[in-house]
Amino acid sequence: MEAEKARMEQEAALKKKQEEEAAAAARAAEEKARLEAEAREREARERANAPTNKLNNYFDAIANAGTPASANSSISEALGMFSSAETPVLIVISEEDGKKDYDEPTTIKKYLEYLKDQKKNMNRISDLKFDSAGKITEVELTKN
Amino acid sequence: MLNKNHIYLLALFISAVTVTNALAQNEISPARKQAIDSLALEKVRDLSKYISIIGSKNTAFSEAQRVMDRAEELFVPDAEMGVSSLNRKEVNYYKVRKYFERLMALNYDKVSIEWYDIHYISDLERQPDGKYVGVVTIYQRFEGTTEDGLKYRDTTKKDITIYVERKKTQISGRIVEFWDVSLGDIRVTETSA
Repeated sequence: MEAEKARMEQEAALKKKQEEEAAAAARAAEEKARLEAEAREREARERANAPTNKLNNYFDAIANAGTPASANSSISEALGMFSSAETPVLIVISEEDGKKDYDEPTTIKKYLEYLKDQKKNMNRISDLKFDSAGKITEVELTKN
Repeated sequence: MLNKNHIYLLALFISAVTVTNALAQNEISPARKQAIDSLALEKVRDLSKYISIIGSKNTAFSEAQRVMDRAEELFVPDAEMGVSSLNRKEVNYYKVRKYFERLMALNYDKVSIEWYDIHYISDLERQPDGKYVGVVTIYQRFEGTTEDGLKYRDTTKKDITIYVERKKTQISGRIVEFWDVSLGDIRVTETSA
């Protein structure tokens, strides 16, 4: 009787240990999957935001350039992101019930020169359109 | 049965509804109007910066030409700029391009031009043709220094007529409506030391 009871207790302890190990393994797998999904989402977000951030950095660099030569150099580099210097730039001045009011559309070359002349970068990038080569074909900015 | 008076009243009612609807369609909300007001003021500030670049003796010739092109685009065709001096009574008016060229060629070693206190003296109001027209006042502080250190300074108050019009253009195959802001004549109203 004693031996039988001890065997049953041993079996129960073993089963409990196995269950605990399985639960821990499941939790670890779940955590790993969650971290991997988060990393994938972060990478996708960074990939999607990369041109916006890069362009915004150029806007800041041009508006805050210390000399015209430095601004011109940033303008030349920034133009490399676009399908053409004539890429249209739309500037939203207000939005109501989904209807947008725009300033007169301009081109990216004129807009970059505007930043150089006016030394202010007061519009945020709200939308970029790309061609199959990854070059920007249209910019939408929104007044802050 | 409808008699002549009924028909007349019905026609009058339909006309009134049509006109009311048309007016309602042309109305813009205060928030949109404010955005347009701000846009027009920003164009004036942009012009102020362009004028200071054109006038500066540190600006390269090619840059000044490019900036003149940008500045000229802000105006309606044939717009004029008033120029005054403490040394004469009359105000001279020049086409804006001519004004920019004269500004660039001023016979000073150093030129500083600053616009301040830019504000509406007459709000943008909708005209019967659908355009909005208003007047903005600015104060311009001019200082020119000759090679031997002589300075000419004045402060001029100027009124700028502003025109705002709804226009359409085609971008990437679609129609985009926008507010086109143009500056009209710039009139000198006061000149002081």
